[in-house]
Amino acid sequence: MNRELVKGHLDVMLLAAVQGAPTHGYAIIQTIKDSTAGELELAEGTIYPALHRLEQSRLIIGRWSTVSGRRRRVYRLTKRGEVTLSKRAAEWRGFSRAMDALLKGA
Amino acid sequence: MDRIDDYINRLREALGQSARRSVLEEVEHHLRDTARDLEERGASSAEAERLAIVAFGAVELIATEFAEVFESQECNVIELSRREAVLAETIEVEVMNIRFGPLTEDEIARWSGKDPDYAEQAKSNVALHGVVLKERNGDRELCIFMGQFEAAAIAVGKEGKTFARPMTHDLIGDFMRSLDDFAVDRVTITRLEDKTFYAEISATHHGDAMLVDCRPSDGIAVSLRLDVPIFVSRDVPPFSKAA
Repeated sequence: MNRELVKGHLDVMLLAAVQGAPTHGYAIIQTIKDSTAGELELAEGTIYPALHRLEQSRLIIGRWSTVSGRRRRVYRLTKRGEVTLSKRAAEWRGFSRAMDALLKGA
Repeated sequence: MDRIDDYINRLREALGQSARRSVLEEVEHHLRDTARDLEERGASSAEAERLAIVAFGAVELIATEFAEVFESQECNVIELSRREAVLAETIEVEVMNIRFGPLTEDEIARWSGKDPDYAEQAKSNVALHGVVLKERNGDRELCIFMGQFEAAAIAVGKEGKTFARPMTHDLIGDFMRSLDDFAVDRVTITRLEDKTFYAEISATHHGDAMLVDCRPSDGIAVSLRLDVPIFVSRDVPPFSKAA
């Protein structure tokens, strides 16, 4: 998967990965890797600045917690994050449909 | 020192003044988790650490991306504030150390700078304990005087210690974290007046900025538990232009 394409959509990928139960960075990377069938070309460390940027924008909230006996910073979506994710998902689906129609037969 | 310790040290160095303890801790946890998984799949310890670091990315790349986030952070916080003009005139500081016991004349002279108001309040608080705040992007220091319990609460927060039952500032931090769509942005030491330092906690609730008056000692203790930055107004000596 093209690195620049991933980078351009990293925020929405992260928002999608933290929806549901609070999740820590390592688990988020595993979720994204599983969802992209290992095709992801991304330096794993780049998700942390991105998570902090999303937290700064109040789309997610991070807090230290103990997970399986280990101290972890876990993230969850805020209400604003839920709204943004829902909006971005709808935009993406519309874009994807348009591209599929255009690229049919290519 | 293993490869992961070395990576963390290089990242700390590359981040410079932007290095935050919680960021480095988070990165280290990630690298050790990855290495542990690789070891479980048969890699040697050294190889597992090497592969974990390669997958994580070069120090320079990660440091550059963190620097961009931290540089834009102050702008966002200021935009959210109702008191932009005041908050724009602040300097970020960090807790350097906690000075227990009566202060010496030399220490008072060192922290007083050239400001008579600061010197006056320092001398009147000589029997108290002090928490030294140091400018993140400079060498200036400010010592805030407080009682033993307040200083101890800050020392515990700085060390990241936890107790079987939550202490008062842990409780406040837990409360703040548990509120939906609520986040503390920063703590600001705003002024020195009649030998007393004043502070306020800036927070955002459902997108609305709010300010809460507090004693600097409480603000600092809470900031350490929530891992939010501490700022000092340029109006406060010895950071004021006159000092």
